[in-house]
Amino acid sequence: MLKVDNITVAYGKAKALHGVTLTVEQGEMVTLLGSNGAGKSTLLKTISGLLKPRQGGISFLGQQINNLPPHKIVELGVVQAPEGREVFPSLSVRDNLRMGAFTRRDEKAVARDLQFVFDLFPRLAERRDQAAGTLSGGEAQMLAIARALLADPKLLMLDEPSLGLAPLVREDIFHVVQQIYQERRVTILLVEQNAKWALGVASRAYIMENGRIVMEDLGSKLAENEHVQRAYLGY
Amino acid sequence: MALLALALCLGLTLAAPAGAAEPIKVGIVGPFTGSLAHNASEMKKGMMLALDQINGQGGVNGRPLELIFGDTSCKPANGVAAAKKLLSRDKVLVLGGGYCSSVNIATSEVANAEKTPVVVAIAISPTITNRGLKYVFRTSPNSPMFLQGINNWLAEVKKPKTVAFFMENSDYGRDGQKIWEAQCKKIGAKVLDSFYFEIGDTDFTTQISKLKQLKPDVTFNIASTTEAALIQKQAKELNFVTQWIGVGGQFTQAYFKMTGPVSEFAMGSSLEPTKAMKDPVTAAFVKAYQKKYPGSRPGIFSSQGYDNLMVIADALKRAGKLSGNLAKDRDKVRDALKATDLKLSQGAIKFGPDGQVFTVYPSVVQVQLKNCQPDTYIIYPASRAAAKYLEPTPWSKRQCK
Amino acid sequence: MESLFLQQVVNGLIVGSVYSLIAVGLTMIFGVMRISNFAHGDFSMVGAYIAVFLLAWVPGWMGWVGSLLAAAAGVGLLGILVERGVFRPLLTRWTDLDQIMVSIGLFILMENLAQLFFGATPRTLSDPFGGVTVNMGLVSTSAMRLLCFAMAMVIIIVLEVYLNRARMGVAIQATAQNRTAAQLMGININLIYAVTFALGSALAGLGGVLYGTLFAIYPTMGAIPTLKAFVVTILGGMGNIRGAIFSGFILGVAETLGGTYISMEYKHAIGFVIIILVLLIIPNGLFGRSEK
Ligand SMILES: Nc1ncnc2c1ncn2[C@@H]1O[C@H](COP(=O)(O)OP(=O)(O)OP(=O)(O)O)[C@@H](O)[C@H]1O
Ligand SMILES: [Mg+2]
Repeated sequence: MLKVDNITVAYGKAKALHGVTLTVEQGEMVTLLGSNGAGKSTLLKTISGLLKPRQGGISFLGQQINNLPPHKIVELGVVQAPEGREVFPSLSVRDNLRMGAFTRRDEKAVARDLQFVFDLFPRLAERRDQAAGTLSGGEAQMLAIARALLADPKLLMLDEPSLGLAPLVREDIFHVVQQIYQERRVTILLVEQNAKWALGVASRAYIMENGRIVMEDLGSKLAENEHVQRAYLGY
Repeated sequence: MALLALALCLGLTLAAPAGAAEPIKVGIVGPFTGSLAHNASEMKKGMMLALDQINGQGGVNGRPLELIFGDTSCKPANGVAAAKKLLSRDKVLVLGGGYCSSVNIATSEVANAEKTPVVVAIAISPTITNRGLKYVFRTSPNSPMFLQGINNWLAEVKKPKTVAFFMENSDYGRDGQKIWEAQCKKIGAKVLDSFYFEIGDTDFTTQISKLKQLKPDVTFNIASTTEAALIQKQAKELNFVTQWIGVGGQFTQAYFKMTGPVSEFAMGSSLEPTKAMKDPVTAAFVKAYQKKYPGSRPGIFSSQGYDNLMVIADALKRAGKLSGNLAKDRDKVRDALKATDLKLSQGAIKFGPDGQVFTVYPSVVQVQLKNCQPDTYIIYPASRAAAKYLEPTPWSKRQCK
Repeated sequence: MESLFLQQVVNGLIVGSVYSLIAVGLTMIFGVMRISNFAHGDFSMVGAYIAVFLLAWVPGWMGWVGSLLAAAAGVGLLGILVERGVFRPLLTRWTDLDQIMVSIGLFILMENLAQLFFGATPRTLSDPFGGVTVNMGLVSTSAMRLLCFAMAMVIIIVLEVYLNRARMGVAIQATAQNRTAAQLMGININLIYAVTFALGSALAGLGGVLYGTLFAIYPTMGAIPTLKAFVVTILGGMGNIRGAIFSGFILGVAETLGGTYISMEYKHAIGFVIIILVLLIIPNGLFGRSEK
């Protein structure tokens, strides 16, 4: 479904990705692990079209997307809930969700999805008229995920959805991500700090270090890898 | 035009052939090139008319007048050079012309040092005639005199009990205020308050609302075209009635286009000869000018140029037969100038002990409507008045829209 | 009985409504594109001249209402051209200082072109009410001034509704609040830039017609609206639309009351004094800066 082929990305002169290759198949949940500054967010931004690769290419469902502007990529169904939530603080929860559905014209389907996310996150339903800037961290993360869902993604990319959340709230988020994966049958590319959980739920995993993919295997296999255990699982 | 200016710079002379008699040489300075060239050419047109009339009637004591022009470009250094050349090389008997106060302050000093009479035609700085220089005269009113007509009218006709000031915040506005304030004190009018605005302001509603509370009989308003027009419009919008008095320079085509009938009753002063057709001398000047220059209308500069040369010619005539000794003849001309007593296009011309004309002052004009079209009409002095003064009426009583 | 205080409040609200209208356009453009457009008041000037020519052609009511529509459309279109041709290329590549210099250059260019094509002679718009004044006991004003105020209010309300209800309007706000997140939602931000610049310019054009109706029209008339719009924008919090709306009225009334009860000589300084005080006490402006 998604093929990232040997891309190199740089911020000005500083290279952040050096020949990264990664694939995600339809229906998979793939996780991308790596320490701070490894280049995970850079990869997601490049897939979304916010950054352009210097070399290499990206295709989605067989179509070259690395030269498309971000909004065209969203229209194709590649949507991300970015790191740090990035909700629109002065807009209400409802208007944030409405912006999630910006590319869609089918009002009925949008209404159905709105109902779906309100069922998924009852707290958002309660706060639908509240400004997003006044939400708690966990609520804002729920809104970021819900907003991405309203775009009706074929490939949903989540960038560190548990970042900075209290343990209990983090559990909620983990639970919801699994629920989305199962109920919506949406393909997911998950970037996560909590390697233990991510390796547990993902079918496949990539490990990124210093802008390079250093390992790639089934989630369960990597969980047993000694290097991974020492570096990411804290054994 | 440029060629003509060049010819003038080279010192080519425009002489009138009047028999075999040797011409009397008069030097004329002015900014014949540069940004003021147009106004200087107006002055010159007035002078050429005067020259035609003088030489046409046999010149001065049987000798024709000859004008030698020197270009100042409105720069003091150029003016001094031109004046020096006229005085020492061309040996002119007297220096006329002018324009640009800074230039004339310098050239009059040069002429005075050479003991040559100089008669300044156009330039309003008081400095020119208040330095005690014995050979300096001026046929133009100085800047305080520009407001003299209004002052006389206030004392003799309007006699306001209360006045207010609403002035442009500039030297122009504040100097004018000082002169009018002094006059108000003299005639016992109470100054209620003074407000100022900045050049370029567009919203005057705050000040006008305050003025409305004060209800002054007269509101002095020194402002240029745009501001003056906006003030008139906003006064109407706020239903404020007063006798507006300004300097007069604001009454331009653009002003009347902007205000329409709203400017009715506003006052100022004017030296435009065409407004003063009731005065026979002025009317004769205007007619002669339009005959010589068909299709053009003499303005203030033409009138001042004309009067300037007429005053010089008259003094030369009264000085009598010239001896040929330049220094003695120049002194004779100066003495004759002091006794000048003429009626010319600007009005009566007499010099004070300082050499400043004190009998010329602008006429007082008021905006009045004819068929709802606004224009200025002289209302004072009576000898020139083309209309009667009208008291401002309440807005609700005004018919024109 | 007339009340000087009430009269000055009314005077202040009337000019304030026009300040608001022009400032809202400026703050919108700043909020979305981070462009400080020093030529904003010159877009008002263009709007005012459109009214001059339209009213010369179709006098009276039709002409006046038509002028508003034509100014909004004409200046909006000009905004699109300027955004595409001048500002868009700067958006990513150039520094803030470049952007400011370019907009100052644009302002000088527009003034000079106006001087060339329209001449320096100031003009006024004829009043379709024929100069009817309204004396309401405590205060007097003209029917035309009241209409300008009402027009400004209507335009501001329509804008508020558009920005808060319409899909595109909300997307404009979203882009202002977080450009990257907006892109990630599939919002074409180049389109948003064009729409915002067109809308902001159209507001300047509408404000120009009202300003020209209240005051006068000449090539350099844009300077005062630009200055006031910046004061209002800073006061209301850069990029904050509601802040700009309220601050426009606050500035209008503060100027007239300050001019009445403090000193007329400081009338123009009053806005700056308020700004300095507000920035010292509340650095983000009275109503908070737009995010990011
Ligand atoms: N806007 C930017 N400009 C310059 N360098 C950047 C920028 N964003 C990221 N980088 C650099 O690129 C590298 C990769 O950053 P990136 O944010 O992709 O890492 P990450 O794997 O997502 O880290 P984290 O786990 O902290 O989110 C880092 O060295 C970072 O400093
Ligand atoms: Mg990251």
